[in-house]
Amino acid sequence: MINCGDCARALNSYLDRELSDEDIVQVRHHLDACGGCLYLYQFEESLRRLVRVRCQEQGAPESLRMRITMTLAMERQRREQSARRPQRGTGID
Amino acid sequence: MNAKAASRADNPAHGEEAAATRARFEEEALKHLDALYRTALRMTRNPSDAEDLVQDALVRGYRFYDRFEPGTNFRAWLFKILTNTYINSYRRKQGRPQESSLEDTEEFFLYNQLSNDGERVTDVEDTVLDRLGADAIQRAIDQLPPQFRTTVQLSDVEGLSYAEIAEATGVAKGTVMSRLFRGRRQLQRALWEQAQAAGFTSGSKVHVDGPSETGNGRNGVVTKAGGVQ
Repeated sequence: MINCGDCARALNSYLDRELSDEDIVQVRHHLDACGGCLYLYQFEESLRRLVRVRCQEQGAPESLRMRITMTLAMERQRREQSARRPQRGTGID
Repeated sequence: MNAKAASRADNPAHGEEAAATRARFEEEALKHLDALYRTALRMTRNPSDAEDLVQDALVRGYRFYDRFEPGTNFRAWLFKILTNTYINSYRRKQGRPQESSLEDTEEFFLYNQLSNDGERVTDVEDTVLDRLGADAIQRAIDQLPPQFRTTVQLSDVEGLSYAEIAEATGVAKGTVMSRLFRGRRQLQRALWEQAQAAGFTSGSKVHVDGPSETGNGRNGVVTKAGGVQ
């Protein structure tokens, strides 16, 4: 059974889902038994959510999406032309 | 490059296959456009540079897509190209990174700030921090030193794993973990400063000794490692 200090040290990795199965069980057992650590865990989890949700409100501008689509299309065209050139006349009547 | 293109052109099947592969690149890459742009914005802290950076990175990704190993992590590979493009082309332009004024902070700083002895806070939405908008939170992230900033962004906003961030930023997993550890503590301090700057913390029940005191004046809710409860 881990103590509060172990739990606090493991908390971020636990929230990151980067703990081993064994350690996950240990942390869960501790959180079930310890109200203080559970509060802290819930707070840290809600803080992560706040940061993630608010920051994800921002996306790429539509103009950037269009610009990239156009740039990649031009790049593709350039490459297809250079790839086709030697085959001219092979598959077309 | 020319020799490569010529030998590929000798083989029509290869040409078609390569074209189909590249079409797939575009489809897959655009799924990550929002995340790439947000991360570029944290790197450059300038919307116009961020757009150019993303475009340059995606053109490079498109050109080098044949070097991507199928079955490995595409998202981490894309972010790695973004990081490399930034380092090669943009970082120099930005000049000296602005020094961070953030002090190293105790772990779980906000929880300590916002909790009273008899009343522990379990949801940040019940606190003044809920009033921080996207802009304020992004400003807080922007205050972190560059390497912490990108790592925290990739983890806490974009949800990359330690292994993916290690690949994307070209460092060992242990380095990612230590950057996250320090970066998140600084972020908590920076979020608090944003709330103070907006005037959200005045008149609240939170106890602050002074606007820029370190966390030394703890208030009995010590939760640092080893001392919870």
